[in-house]
Amino acid sequence: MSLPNQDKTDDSAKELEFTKLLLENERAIFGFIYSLTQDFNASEELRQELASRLWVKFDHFDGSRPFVAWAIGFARLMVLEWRRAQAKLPIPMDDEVLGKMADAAAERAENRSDIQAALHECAQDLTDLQKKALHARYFDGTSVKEIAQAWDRTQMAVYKVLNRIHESLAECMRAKLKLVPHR
Amino acid sequence: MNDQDRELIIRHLLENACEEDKAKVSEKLKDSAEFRELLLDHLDIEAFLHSEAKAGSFAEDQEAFFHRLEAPSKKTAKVIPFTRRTWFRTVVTTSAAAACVMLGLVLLNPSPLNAASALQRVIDAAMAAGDRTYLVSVTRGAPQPPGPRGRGVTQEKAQVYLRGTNQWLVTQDLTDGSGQRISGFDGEQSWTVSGNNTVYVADSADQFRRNLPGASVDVPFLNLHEQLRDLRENYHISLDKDKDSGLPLLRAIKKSRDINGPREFLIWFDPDSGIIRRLDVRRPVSGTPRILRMDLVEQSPLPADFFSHAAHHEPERPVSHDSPQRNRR
Repeated sequence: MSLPNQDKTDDSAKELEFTKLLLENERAIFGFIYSLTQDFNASEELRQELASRLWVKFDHFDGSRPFVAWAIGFARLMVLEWRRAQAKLPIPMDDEVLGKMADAAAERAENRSDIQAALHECAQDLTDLQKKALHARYFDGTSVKEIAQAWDRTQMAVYKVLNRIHESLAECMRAKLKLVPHR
Repeated sequence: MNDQDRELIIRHLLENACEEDKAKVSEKLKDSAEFRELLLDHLDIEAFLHSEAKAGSFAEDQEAFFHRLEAPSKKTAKVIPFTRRTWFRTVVTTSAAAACVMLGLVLLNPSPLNAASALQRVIDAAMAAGDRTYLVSVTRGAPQPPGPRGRGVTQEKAQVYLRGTNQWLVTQDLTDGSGQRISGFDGEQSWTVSGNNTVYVADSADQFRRNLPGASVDVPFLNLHEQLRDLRENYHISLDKDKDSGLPLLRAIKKSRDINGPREFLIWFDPDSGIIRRLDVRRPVSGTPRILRMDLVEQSPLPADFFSHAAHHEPERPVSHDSPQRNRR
């Protein structure tokens, strides 16, 4: 029979292990959440909240299993809660579709570092104009319409620049990951 | 998968989709695994672009982009209080001009290099001679130990006043409503006084530490610049932008269990001056996170003698240089 405190994990050791695992898997977890919220700010918030929840439950984590899979189990529930609480969603999905999306996103989470590395390499080929558009769109949070006004261009012209970036990055990423292109 | 599907997804992600497009996306998500994969590809790209843009990767002139963070402060204006939705009404008042300044704040590169530069900026600001006043609260913490004569202090709304690197003063309301406990360090002596009672004085800066807010988490204001320097060595540092306030946010997570200190620091700071607007110190105790939070509320100069005990009681009040055992409650 073990003593009552024998199996208790030391707080400091637990902290270290948790922090390490969280940092290693942060991008994968974030990618999963973002895939289902399609809202960057909400994803940031959920990621932070998730970290707190994971810490509280960390005693129950089975170290023989991948941390990312364990974390995504909680993330999935949190995203569902979040989606239920939203008055309006970018794309409404019923539970079945959401479940399928979540399964596919969870599978990707385990290859997140490869995806990230591929995108980093692909982004090296962006032109100055493309970078300018990306800075305006994602750093400043400016809409296509506002960028067009600021640049004195048509909305369609700006849209085409951003569209082209998405297309070329998607194509490049799939090539680097040696995936079959979506045709 | 055809080009129309690809364009449909991109229109949707760029918020350029009409209601009909959205209906099509919903329908295709239901019917096609390939469409779901394609959408996930582009969501990965969106997440990547957001993160990279926030890191300044697409800035036209990267040097100029980061210059603002690293340039010495030229500001001497009154502080712009931290604005976060839930604290806005209760903690600070801010002007429309301040809001405009905050909206214009630059984003920061989360790479370790820039996080380190940002931290250095914050350290420099903490070492500057100016006066700063913070509101302090402790959440999810254990009750504070009772004060002199068994009276406790409230957990909320303690005020911390700082001057340079070695003077501080803390005011805390007594729970019995009889006044305040004021504790301080004038650079040479620490002291504490509760209500109308005796003033206790000691030579050690942290003699009365146990009575201060957040003693169970950490008391970062006792030597803020040292605490911040420690982050460089012993913590993983990252830099991000807080979406609510628009302020740069430094996050520090302890590297090893062998290191003493809280698990995590979150530091929101002014990108121009480097002055900390909000500091969260997190330390889980027995599995429960405890958080000490400091919010900047004022930056006006305080009276020259503000940090000495004599400025906070009438001249005839008894002053005791008693033993630490008796001073510590």
